Formats: sequence, C-alpha cells, structure tokens
Amino acid sequence: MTTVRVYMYTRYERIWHWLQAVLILALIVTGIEIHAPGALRLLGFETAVELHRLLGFVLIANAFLGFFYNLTTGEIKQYFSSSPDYVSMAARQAAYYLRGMFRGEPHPFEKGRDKKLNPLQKTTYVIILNVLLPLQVITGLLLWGTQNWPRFVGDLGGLAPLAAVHTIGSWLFPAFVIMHVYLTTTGPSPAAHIRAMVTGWEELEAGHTTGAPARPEGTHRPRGRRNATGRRRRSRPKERSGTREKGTQ
Amino acid sequence: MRSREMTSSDTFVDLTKRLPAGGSCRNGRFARPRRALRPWAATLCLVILMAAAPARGAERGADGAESIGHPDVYFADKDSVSVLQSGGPVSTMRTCGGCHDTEYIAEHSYHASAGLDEWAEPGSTPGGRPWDSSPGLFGRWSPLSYRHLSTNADDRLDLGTTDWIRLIGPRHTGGGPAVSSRTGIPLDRLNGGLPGGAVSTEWAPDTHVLDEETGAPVEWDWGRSGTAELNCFICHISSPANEARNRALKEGRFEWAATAALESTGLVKRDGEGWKWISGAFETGGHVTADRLSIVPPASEQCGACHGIVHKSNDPVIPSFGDLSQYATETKGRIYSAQRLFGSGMNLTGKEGLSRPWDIHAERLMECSDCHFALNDPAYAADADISRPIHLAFDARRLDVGEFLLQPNHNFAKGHSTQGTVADELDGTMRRCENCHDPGSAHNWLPYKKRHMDRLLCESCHIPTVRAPARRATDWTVLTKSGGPRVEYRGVLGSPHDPAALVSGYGPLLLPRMVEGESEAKLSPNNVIASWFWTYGDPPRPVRHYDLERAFFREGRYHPDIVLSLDSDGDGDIGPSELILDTPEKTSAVRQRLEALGLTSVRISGEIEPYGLHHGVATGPWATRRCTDCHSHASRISASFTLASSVPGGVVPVPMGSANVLMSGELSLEGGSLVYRPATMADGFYILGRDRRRGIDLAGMVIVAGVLCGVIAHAGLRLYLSRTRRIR
Repeated sequence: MTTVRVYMYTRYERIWHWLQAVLILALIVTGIEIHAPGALRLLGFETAVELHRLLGFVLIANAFLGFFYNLTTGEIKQYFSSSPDYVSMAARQAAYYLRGMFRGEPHPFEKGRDKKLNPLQKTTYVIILNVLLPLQVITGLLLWGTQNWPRFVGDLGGLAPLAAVHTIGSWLFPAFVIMHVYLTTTGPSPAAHIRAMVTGWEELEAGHTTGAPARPEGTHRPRGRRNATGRRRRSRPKERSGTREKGTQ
Repeated sequence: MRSREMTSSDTFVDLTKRLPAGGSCRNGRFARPRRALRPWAATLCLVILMAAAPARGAERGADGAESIGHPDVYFADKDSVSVLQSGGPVSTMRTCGGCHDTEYIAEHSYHASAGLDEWAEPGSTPGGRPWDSSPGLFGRWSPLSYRHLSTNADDRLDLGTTDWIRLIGPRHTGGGPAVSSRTGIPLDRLNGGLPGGAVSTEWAPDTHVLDEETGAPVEWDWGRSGTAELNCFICHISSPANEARNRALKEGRFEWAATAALESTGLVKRDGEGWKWISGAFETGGHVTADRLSIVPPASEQCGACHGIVHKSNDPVIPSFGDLSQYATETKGRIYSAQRLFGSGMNLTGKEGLSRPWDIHAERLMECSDCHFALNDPAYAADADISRPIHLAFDARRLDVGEFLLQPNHNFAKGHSTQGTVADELDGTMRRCENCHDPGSAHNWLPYKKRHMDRLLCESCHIPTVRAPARRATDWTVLTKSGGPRVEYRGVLGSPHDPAALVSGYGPLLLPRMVEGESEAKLSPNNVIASWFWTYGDPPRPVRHYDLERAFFREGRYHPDIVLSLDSDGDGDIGPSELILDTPEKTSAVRQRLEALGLTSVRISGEIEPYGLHHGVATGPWATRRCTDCHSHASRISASFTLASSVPGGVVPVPMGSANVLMSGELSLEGGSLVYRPATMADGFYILGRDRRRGIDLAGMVIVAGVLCGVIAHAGLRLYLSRTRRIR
C-alpha cells in the first residue's frame, strides 16, 4: 500500500496542542488535590490551589491564542461542516468505530491537510472547545473572582452551584482525554497520530488523502531527518504544508 | 484619603500621631526646642522629676494603686446629709452626684437598666422564650441561673424583684430594676414602708418574695431594705469589697450594698448587723480624699468581677467553675490574662509547649474599656452614625473633658453579641479588630485574602482553641443533692473542679454569623451550651426551682418515688451516673411528681444557645494557618461538636431564635451523645477541599470508568481480531 507523508500540523498547532494537553492534565491533577485533598497528596493544598489558578490563566491565554490562530488562518473552518449529510456522515464514522474497524474496513472519510477532522471529531471538538472549555473557564474565573465580585457570584447562587458545574466539567475532561488518547491509536500504526502531532508529518494511505496543499510545493524533508548527504540539517527549514509520497508497501 | 474609605464607626482620632517626637505644641503650632537649650532643659527636667517623685508616691491610694487626681469626695446619705452625722448608708447618687450627673449616668447605662427599659409583655421579645419579658438580665430567663423573673402573667411566684436583686444583684451594677419598679415607681415607695413578713394571698412580683420554706408569697419591706443604687464604687475604686457588697445584697440590705463595697478602703467596717463609719478616715466636713478611696479609671478587673476571670497577678491562673459570677469563664472558658499558658495552675495538655498568653491583648496591656469605651468619651471619639450628620464623613466636634466628666455616657461600646440581646441598638459601636489592625498587610501570605476576610471573623482563626474548660450542658430535669442541675463541661477529662483533671480545651464551633449591614454571613467561633428543663402550663413557664425541690426531695433526701425510679443499682441512693432521665419510665416518674404539685402540661423542653468567642486571642504563629485545617475532609469547620453526653427525656433541643448565628446543621445521636454537625454549605459557604456534591462525583466517576471500560473493551477486541487475522 502506498502511503504519502502529509505535513498535517504546523509548528504552532503542535505547540498549542501539547501545551493544552499539559495544562489540562496538570489542571486535572491539581484539581483533584483541591477537590479531595485526602485523595491525592502531591503538592499540598496551598500549592495546588496556586498552581491551579496559574495554569488556569495560562489555559485561557492559550485558548484565546488558538482561537485567534484558527480564525486568522481559516483553520476554524476545519471544525465546521456545511454538508447536509453531516448527521449520516457522523453515523458512518461511529459505525466504523463500532463495527467497520474490527472488520478491517477502510476509514469512511479521507483525511488531508484541509480535512483533518472526521465528523465525530468535529462534533467533539466543537463541544470541547466551545462548550466545555468555556464553561470551565467561566466557572473557574468566577470561583477565583468571587472575592472581587461576591455580589455577582451571590446572584448566581454562590460558590456551591459554580463549583458543582466546574466539577462536572472536571470529570468530563479526563473522560475526553482517555477517549482522545485511545483514538490516536487508530491510525495506520498505534503511534502514527501521536507521532504526527510531534513531527507535524502524518503518513496517510495513498488515495486516501484529500485536499490540496495549502501552498503547492515539492518534496521536502521533515525536520531533523538526514539530508541527501547524510548530514543533519543544522538549521530548521521553514515548515510548509504539503504532501510527500513515501513509497510503496 | 484613607479616612474617606473608612466607615463612620472606624473614624477614631489618633492623638499620638499629632506630635512628632521631641517636639512640643504651643499655640497650636509645633515647635522644636532650641538645640542650645537642650542641656539646660534636660537638667531642669531631671530636677523637676526628682522633686516630683515623692509627690507621685503620695498620689497612690490606700492599696498602692495610682490615683487620678480626683478631688475629695463629700460622703452623703440619701438626704444629702453627711454619713458621719446620720450614720446611714452612703448614697452614690448624692455623693457622686455632687459633681457628676448621676441621673444621666443611670439612665444611660444598660448595665444598670439590664433590660428594664425594654420591658415587654412575656413572649413578645424578638427571638425570646414565651416567658421572657425583656432582652436583658432583668427579664430574660437563663437556663444557667434558672430562676424565672415572675410577671403579673404568671400564676406562681418564682423570682420577684427582691429575689432577683439577691440572686442576680452580685452581677448587676445597681440602679435600674434595683431601684425602680417595672412601672417606673421607685421601689421604696411601693409599699410605703409597711412592715414586712405579712403573708399575702395576692402577690405582685415587685413587692413580694417567695418564702423558701412555705412557698408562699411574702410581702417585702422596701422601706427597710432600701434599694440598691447604681454602685459607682465597684467600678471606680481600685479594690472594692465585692464580697461584702454581695453579702449585703443576699441579706436583702440593698441600701447598704454600696457602703459595704467600701470595707476595703477603711472608711467603714461591719458592726454586727450593720456597718459603722470610721470617722478617723474622714477629712473635716465629712470629706474623703481620693487617695483614701483610691479612685481609678475602670480597669479590666472591675469588669472581670462579673464577666469572667481577669488575671493580672503572677499567681498561676486557677479558674473555678460552676460559679456564675465568672460568667464568661463558665460559659466560654474565657480567661483574660497576660500570663503564659504554661504558667497556669491547670493541668493543661502539652502545657510545657504553650508559651502564648491567654489573650494577646491582655499581654499588650489593653483594658476592657479600650474597646468597650463610653460612647461619648472624647479620648476615644467614636464617631457613631447616630450622632454624625449624614453629610459629614468625619465629625470633628467632641465633648470637652469637663462636659464628659459631668455626663459620661455609661452605655459602653459593644459588638454584635451572639448570646447577649440587651441594647441591640448599640450593636457594632465598639472597635473591631480591623479598626486597630491592618489585616491586609499582615496576611499577604494568605491566598484569596479578601475572600477569607469577607467570610471569616478574625476570631475564627485567631481563637483556634479555648484552653480552659467551659460548660457544655445544663440539665435541670434532675436535681443533684445540692439542688443544682446536672452540669457537663467540655475541654476537660473529668471534673473541672478537680485540679488534677487534664484540661485539653476545646476547638470552637464555627457558625455563620449574620451581621446587619453585611451582605454575607461570616464564620465565627462559638461555644454552645445545651440545656434541658421542665416547663408547665400554656403558655409555658419553667417549673419553679421551689417545685423541683419539692418533687425531688423530702426532708433533705431524695424522695422515695424518685429513688425508686432512678436508683438503677438498687443501693438506695442516686449516684451521678444514675441521675439522668434516659428512659421513658424515669421521665414519667418525675413528671408525675411534678403533676402531683398541681402543675399541668408538664413536659421537658430543651434549647441550644451559642456563646460567641471574642477573647482569648492568639497571635499569628498560634492561629489557624494551615489550609487543610479547613480545606480538607477533616475540616475544623465541619467537625462535629458534642453538645451533651445524653438527651434527657429524648427531647432534642432547639437553637435559640435570638442568637445571630445560623445553626443549619444536623443534630444526631452518636453513641448516646448529642452531636451537632455543621452544614455550612446550606448557609451559603462552600469550602474547597471539604464541600462536594456526592452525586456529581459519583456520576463523574461512572462516566470516566465507563469510558475507560469502553476503551479497554474496544482495544482488546481490536487486538484479538488483529491476532486472529494474522493467524489466518
């Protein structure tokens, strides 16, 4: 089977993703220590609170930067679909995960630089990024800011309902992370997707890619690979989107 | 600019800031002394000081206390005649009234009126009991002292005004209900000096006393006893003979109470049934020097005579319990002393390491009056809302010293008391912690500082533990052999009367306190005392102590019916462990005894009364500092608080409605003990690390576990099928 290497994720996207991952994991850990200090004694309550607050603000900043990036580069379109068959497409994707994958059926949707997300991913990420994350951010901000806006928080019912909503979100995030990490193993190889998010390059089955490169280009090597002379490239090339045929299997 | 941000009650004049050190003030302008004159000035000052030294020594009073330069005092009786001539008791209203407006003082003193000025029909006081007639000491029933101040609405006389003075008078300044009837008539004019002792079928609470032997109302001879005027001496001389005064009150010699308080000055001595003035101690014309009297500004010891232990000597602190004259010590374990805890005479747990004083303010030489000052005292210059025009942020007008000394307002600044309900209109007039301290600068280490300040009284952290025992429960459903209630204490293993008993102290119960003008409740430290007692009738009244004694005793011993029902071990006596109504049969037996006395609708009632803690303050290193002390599953905020070791008659007590704290927690029986478990979440508190909604956590765990199981199953199936395909 012929595979092609596609420059799927830009450097910023990868940094954004991994920073977000680290932040979310750290927030989960510190959050557990705050929520149930007896269940996890890693940092101590006070440190956990301070770190949780700090990480929360970094998460907010990262989320805004990501939103700005997606908006200005047009990547935001990747998260939405105008197809009238969206629901049936999502059903096909679900059917693939539940049945087709076990039968060795091909992925129902082609993946490419301009079509990174399948319908279920789009739905999930839209919910995560537009509902769950903002909900956590807002409730987290209010929990932090109750000392500055006690009346406002009081009008919202006080800390108890805010903390309840925040806790619900906190439980959904680990559920998402588990699912998310597991689904990265459903690529051509178990580590293919994770590797792609590290290097930016993803191997896709030839004929199973879609979308034109953002900028037409020839072949070029991914960062860190040896060049024709066998030497390491000293300076990192400017990353560009594109595809590169790797060979046949 | 800063003063603009402060509330009116915060605005105090700090005179010490007006003059830079080393300078003097002349004609309102600050001037530094000339450099060349300094050696001469220093020498001159030294000479003056040396010359003045003997004079200062001469200003000390009979007991060595420093006097305040008060002029000689003309000692007059109630007719303004010299006591040396009449031989009668001194009248403070005439004697002190020669210069001070004693009428004004008596009228402006809630210590004197004790609720008489707020007298109301029984049951109509806000949050009070059905038999409470005022929010003060005179009219508000206390399960600690028990006796009920009878009113015209009662069918049985319990405590008339006379007996109130004899019983409660030692904790009352005099004046108010000790000189005036509930209708405003002077008590000594009520019966026109009729000879006492006549048995009356009709009785009135102001004119009759209960005969302890017969239970019959007996008319009291006010003309003979006189009345107990506002006793200036107990607060304004350095060492009043308080015991002699109390003895005079108990003997019903009210008019002599103020005179008896002077026994310690050498002006008067007990002479048989009366008192005799010592003429040699007087100056010519019946005057007494201020040094002889040792007139001083009221010190904390004077307050402590009624409010609780104030200890200033080097002797070890050894409180006595069961003594309501040390009211706050009994009810809260309050000890106002600079002495280090390890110097105490009590057997304190971990005593050797307790190097903090009983109260940091005592150690810093603060007197009670520094915070609880006279409201019109120009030195403290409290700018109360009630006197300040609304358009002024600060009212610079003050009484001059002469005006203040003429009419010193004896309504002292007070806080928002939890258990005290008298003179509520003055709540919040005293200095609070933040009026003197800047919590902002001292708590920079504290995360979410403002939030903590908004939701916690300073005392919540700075009174982490009360190191003395305090009363926990009072059970009047039974009587001990001495005729008192069964009493429990917290913070001590064994009896607090036993000097060897190990005193662990207790962690206060943190309860949300609602304060007028503040949007959110604040957690405040409290002791809580549960009480049980018998009531009868409709509307209910507490069963008289006289009737309880008749029900429990016969000829000085427990009544056979009581012994029969309570003597569990059959030894013919009722031991301390047997003296409790823990079965329906025992409860019924006592009820039948009371019903046999003609009482109807006899039942056990119970109440819970919180007592706010504001003294015994510890400095930062001793305060609650660790986050997990509150923010954990073992949070001190949610720690259960034992109210009593048993529940007499199975009656669950109810919180008093007059307390300004919320008690939304749960009362439960744990191992036979009545336990209060706070539910601050229901009161609008959410303590991170402690509070959580179990349903949400359960649902979250199910979701995460479900996803994990799904992933494992999915991955396992993929692996299995992958291997199967490879094998094929």
